[in-house]
Amino acid sequence: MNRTEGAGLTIALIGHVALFGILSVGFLATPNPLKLKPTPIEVALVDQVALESTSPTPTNEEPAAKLSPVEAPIEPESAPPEPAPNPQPVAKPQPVQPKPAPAPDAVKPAPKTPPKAAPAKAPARASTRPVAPTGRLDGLLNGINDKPAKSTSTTPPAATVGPEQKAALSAAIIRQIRPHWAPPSGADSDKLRTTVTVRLNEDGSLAGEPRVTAQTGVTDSNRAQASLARDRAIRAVKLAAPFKLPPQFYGAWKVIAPVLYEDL
Amino acid sequence: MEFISTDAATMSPIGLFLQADWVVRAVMIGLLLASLWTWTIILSFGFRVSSVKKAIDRFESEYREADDIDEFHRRAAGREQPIARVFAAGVTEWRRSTSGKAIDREGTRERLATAMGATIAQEVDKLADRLNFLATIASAAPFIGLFGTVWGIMRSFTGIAKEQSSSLAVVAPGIAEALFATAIGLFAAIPALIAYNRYSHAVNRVEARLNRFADGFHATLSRRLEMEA
Repeated sequence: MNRTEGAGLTIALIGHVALFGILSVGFLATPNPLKLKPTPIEVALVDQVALESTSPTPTNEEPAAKLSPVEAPIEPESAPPEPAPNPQPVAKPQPVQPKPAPAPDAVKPAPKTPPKAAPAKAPARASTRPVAPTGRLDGLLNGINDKPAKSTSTTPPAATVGPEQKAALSAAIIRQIRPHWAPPSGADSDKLRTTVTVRLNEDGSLAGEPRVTAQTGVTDSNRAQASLARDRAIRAVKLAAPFKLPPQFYGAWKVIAPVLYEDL
Repeated sequence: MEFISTDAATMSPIGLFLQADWVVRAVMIGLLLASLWTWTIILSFGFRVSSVKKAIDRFESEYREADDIDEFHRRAAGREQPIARVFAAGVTEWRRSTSGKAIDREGTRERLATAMGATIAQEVDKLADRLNFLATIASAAPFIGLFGTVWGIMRSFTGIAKEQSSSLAVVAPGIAEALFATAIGLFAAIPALIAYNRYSHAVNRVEARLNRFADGFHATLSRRLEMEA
């Protein structure tokens, strides 16, 4: 190695170190790594799931048409009844007591009635109802009849399927399909969503051939895997049959259309 | 070290190097050293060829202007230049051949031509000594890089087999690091190939110029040989 080679080596060394140094500080880094990340799948979380239907809430019959004929004065809410005045009505009948003395049988109900009236009054006062009890009972039965209640609700009574049951049913269907689902893998294969529609018998077996009714997310890069995904989706549904689903909701799973995707 | 990015998403050579396994690392280091040596040769050879050409230009012009060959020989023959050595070899052979009493003209001409031709061949050999390394790098470096790439991709595929997953995230870093081996191989080979072709041509031209000078000098000496006779 002579003098020119020494100079050449020095220059070459400096050049290499500079080049790799520039490359190492991210000079050629991918300009926007965010674009390379897959777009997240939207997930709806259903926190209430049940396989049993809750009965629909019926609307009650119309309220009584007639109110008490006498309007009581509205009592001030600011004055709650003191517990102390309550014994007073008990004390009042005492002067009356000598009168029915000859008839001891009549004496017994006499002291009882005033105390009864007193507790009845107290909750009435405490409530914010504007109408005070008048002690009269007419009109109490108005609006009550023997006919069945005429509901204005359109909710069908009893076991139809609500959103919670639907969510639970589809979760149960997916749970039974998942072990048999082998999605194809490759570029963009996570974007494929294949919908398989099939009619089921009441025992959960397939009543017909499963069909792919929809497939979304097909791009140029995963076009090769799309047909493979369709075949495998049909195969997964066939293998998963017979489905074990609650028979009382057969109406809800007579036709199922699970959506199969890569990260099921 | 924070400003040096080492993650897989960047094209950082250090990041790619650190992720590679030892075979690919060895390939990368070897190719990097080869590239370093290639550029050393390219630069030093460029300096030498240009200085040789300049020396030939200067020597030829001085030679044309010189009246007396012996005087010019004293002045210029000691220079550390190929053309000076060729000239010195011719003069030395001339003096040896003409020092005796009887002069064999034909023999002297042949010896002069042989002596200067041998010196030219030696000088060209010395000059082109490093060029064969450039040729070797130009042809072998892509293959070495390819070996590193094949090895790295094999490793990526065994990674797929191990993880039971063929997602790009598993394969991509290994393939990137493997392809980096080929990239370094090409990085070393392309300058070596271009430089080899250019410098072969430059060496040929230097050789041709030395030959022309030697022929002219031989003609001069041959004429003098006839005059002296």
